[in-house]
Amino acid sequence: MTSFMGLLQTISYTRKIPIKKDLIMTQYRLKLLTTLTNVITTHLMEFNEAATSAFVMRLVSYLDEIQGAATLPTQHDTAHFEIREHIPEAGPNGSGPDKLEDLVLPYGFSLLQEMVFNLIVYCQADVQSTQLRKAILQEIREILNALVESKKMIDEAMLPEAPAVSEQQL
Amino acid sequence: MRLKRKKLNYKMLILTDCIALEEPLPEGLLDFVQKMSEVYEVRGVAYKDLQLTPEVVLPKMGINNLYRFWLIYTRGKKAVDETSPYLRTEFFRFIEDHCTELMEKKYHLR
Repeated sequence: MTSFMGLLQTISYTRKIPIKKDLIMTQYRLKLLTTLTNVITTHLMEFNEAATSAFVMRLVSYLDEIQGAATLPTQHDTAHFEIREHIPEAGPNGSGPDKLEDLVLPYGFSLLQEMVFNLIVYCQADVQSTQLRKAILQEIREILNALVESKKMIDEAMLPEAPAVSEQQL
Repeated sequence: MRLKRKKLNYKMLILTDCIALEEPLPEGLLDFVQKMSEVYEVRGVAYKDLQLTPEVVLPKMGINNLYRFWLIYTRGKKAVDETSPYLRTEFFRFIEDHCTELMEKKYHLR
């Protein structure tokens, strides 16, 4: 983790411009949360495409709702509980002791939700510029949506009746 | 292309760096970041995916790869030799043409 944080420091484009030093930790947090969100979503999609896709789309629709809000919406906690209700419960499913496969979705979804919600909180709390805040929330929405949609797209392209397309269309 | 390039989060990393800039943000900064990140994300994903194909790539994730994606869309579903230098060069050409078009014709960045 320490070396990863060191690596994040090297991914910086604003060293030669005056910057607010107190926001460096927020930058690290947002970068780390984005990277982990990407990694976890990709692996959850490989594990269970249908369930992950449905769950991620719930997060995407919540991100759509809060776009442009200057402060954290009052329904943030409600939305947190509402989305959490769609996470399957971990625990014995009646067919025997816990297997690793039974724990992936409950813990994976939980982790994913916490990361996205934390990212929203940090973003609303520390990003002063409304424009920039909107752009960051829009970008995390795009990332989540793209990870789900690109998998669907490739599945559709593999269907026997799928037409070939030109490079221009691609 | 718009969907596949999000495997790399260059735009998010740059936007995150921008939060430490003094207000007000330079005019046109976000627009410039949007345009440039589109080019660099496409390039980054293309080169990374080409490196992963076909030996290293995980069997299940193999299909979720821009190079294979391009092969399926342009060559159809028939089996092709993915290691062919000709196809790889064609893919590079396609990516470079796409990026050049974005920079020169669509966004007028150079």
